[in-house]
Amino acid sequence: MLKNYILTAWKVFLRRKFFTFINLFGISLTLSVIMVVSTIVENYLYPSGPEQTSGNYRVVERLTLSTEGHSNTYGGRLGYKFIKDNIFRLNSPELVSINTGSFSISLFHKDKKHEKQFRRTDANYWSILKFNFISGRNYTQEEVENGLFVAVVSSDVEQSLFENESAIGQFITVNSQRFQVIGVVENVSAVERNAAADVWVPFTTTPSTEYKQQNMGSWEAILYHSDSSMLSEIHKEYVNLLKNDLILEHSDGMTLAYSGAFSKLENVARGGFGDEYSYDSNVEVLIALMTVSIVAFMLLPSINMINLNVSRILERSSEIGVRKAFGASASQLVLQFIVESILITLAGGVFGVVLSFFLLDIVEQSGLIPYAEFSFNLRIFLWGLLMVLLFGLISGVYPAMKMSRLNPVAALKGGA
Amino acid sequence: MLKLTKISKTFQTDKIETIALQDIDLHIKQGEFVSVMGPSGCGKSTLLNIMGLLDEPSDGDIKVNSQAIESYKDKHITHLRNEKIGFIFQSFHLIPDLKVIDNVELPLLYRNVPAKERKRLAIEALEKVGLKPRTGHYPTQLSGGQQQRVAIARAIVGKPELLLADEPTGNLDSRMGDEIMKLLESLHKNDNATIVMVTHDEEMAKRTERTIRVFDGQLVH
Ligand SMILES: Nc1ncnc2c1ncn2[C@@H]1O[C@H](COP(=O)(O)OP(=O)(O)OP(=O)(O)O)[C@@H](O)[C@H]1O
Ligand SMILES: [Mg+2]
Repeated sequence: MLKNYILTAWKVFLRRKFFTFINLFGISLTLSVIMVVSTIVENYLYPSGPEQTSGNYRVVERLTLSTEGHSNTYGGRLGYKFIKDNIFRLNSPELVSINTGSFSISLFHKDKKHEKQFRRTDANYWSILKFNFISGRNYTQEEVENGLFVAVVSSDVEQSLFENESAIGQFITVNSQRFQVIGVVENVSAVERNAAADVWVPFTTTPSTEYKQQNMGSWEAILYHSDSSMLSEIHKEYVNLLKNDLILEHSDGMTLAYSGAFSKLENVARGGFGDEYSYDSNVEVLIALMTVSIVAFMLLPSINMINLNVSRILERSSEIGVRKAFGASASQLVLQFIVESILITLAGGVFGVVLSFFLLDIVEQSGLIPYAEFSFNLRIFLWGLLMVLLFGLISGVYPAMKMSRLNPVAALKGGA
Repeated sequence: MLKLTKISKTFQTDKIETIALQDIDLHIKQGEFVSVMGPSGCGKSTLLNIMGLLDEPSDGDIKVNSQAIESYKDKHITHLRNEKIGFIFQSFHLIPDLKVIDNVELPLLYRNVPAKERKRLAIEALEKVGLKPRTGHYPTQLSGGQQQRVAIARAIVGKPELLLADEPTGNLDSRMGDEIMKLLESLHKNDNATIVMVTHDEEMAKRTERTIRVFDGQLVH
């Protein structure tokens, strides 16, 4: 019987090419957009590159300094002084790493200029983040302390500056400082924003020492613990320190500091929806917003499909009447129409997967997100498939139920 | 084989109540060829639908092979329709998405007949209506008369005990109507089929064994 439903569905699809096309188009487009978005989000939240350890660290990215009564406020990224005076006093993290964040610089080599991303870090940076070294090594604690002019570069830098030669031992010039390359790492997707750069050097090579006096700046701190359940403790200890034990010098009379040690998602939420005078990320708002938009995005085509299915089945009310007259039970009819919708959603799903491969490839190639390489995982695929099947069921079941209950005489007359 | 006792049917729409049938007593015997006549709107189709268990009467009893219909629940009734009754409609009602052969196989599908056997029986039925070469066509590729012959093949493929035809020639010109009539006559004669046919055509009615006349929802004698 099921085989026959499938065969019948196949015949119907072939006979109603326009309907089939519209349906396939709607489903595959919806699915592929969802898959592309969730793949990007997934790659962002669960990085596979250097940030693959993100489950074991929190990042302090933002800081608000304010006077009593909030009449005067600075908001933004952290300065070295604030990190040194406060974050370095935390006991709960096993490792703390700091870096300047990445910024654009011009790299000169053999009189040619290259626009690249640049980041100054400490040595712990290389212990917490898992960079993939193609050749050479990272700089050590000792080299950082001594302010040696050494650099780790991306394979992109190696290729664009040194072509077929190895970069190890070569020199690059940034802002008239000369660095010797000691390591080459695989390119890092810009999605991994705490890791991504083209050139990494010890932060102690910074030309001026002014940064040592600044509470605000462009810095960020990565707080690591090998036991991920300790991460919330780190946040708590940090907040507690900000409230009760804050050290704030040269701060224009600011006495209050608001910040938090957050996961990637929390940092996004804090940036987008957070209250600047709070220690929370408001991640719930972001999650709710994401859920609502995904549901809304699914709902529109769902309603459309239901509509389409209702009118398609209405059009076939005479068929339903005939089938009933010749002995089809309501449940057999429901099954028949559900098989049809599931088949078409599955087919749309397959197209959608193929389409999302292409779309992801286009996003990768476009350079919109530098060095992005989206690993496409089974989990997203299965989720997508589940959603699509759900979608097929919702859009198929309702009209099928409605129609199968029709009185056969009414159905034959062609009306509901 | 089919016995209606005191059958009534009223239709309830928003405000108006239409009495379509009133106190119908009717007995159709095995192997009979009966025609039903009457002016438009007198209740002929309603009567036929009730005989075919497509519609539930408001009142009265129906017995099929002296077995009373007690429930119009889906499960119970679909089985009876499938086994005992074959319908032929004025507007053919073939499924446009399916080929002729698949249309004819339909009643067997709901009897779980294996595919091969379905095909054999469908071809046999199409042979009877003289359309064997058209098995692979779609209904829209056939003339009205041919479509009605496919519909007849569909109605007889499961060898039902009762054929119900609601103005089977109503949409056809007289020549094609005559062909269909001849086909029904031969089914009656050769296969001993029991047929109840609604018609507006006196000539057609004369060719049947008995004519039932309906007026305003009641039988006239
Ligand atoms: N679903 C319905 N709802 C309301 N009234 C109905 C319905 N079906 C039929 N009727 C009414 O019942 C009466 C009998 O209708 P029926 O279709 O049986 O007539 P008929 O004799 O077949 O007419 P025709 O020769 O035009 O086909 C008519 O008055 C009709 O308006
Ligand atoms: Mg009628």
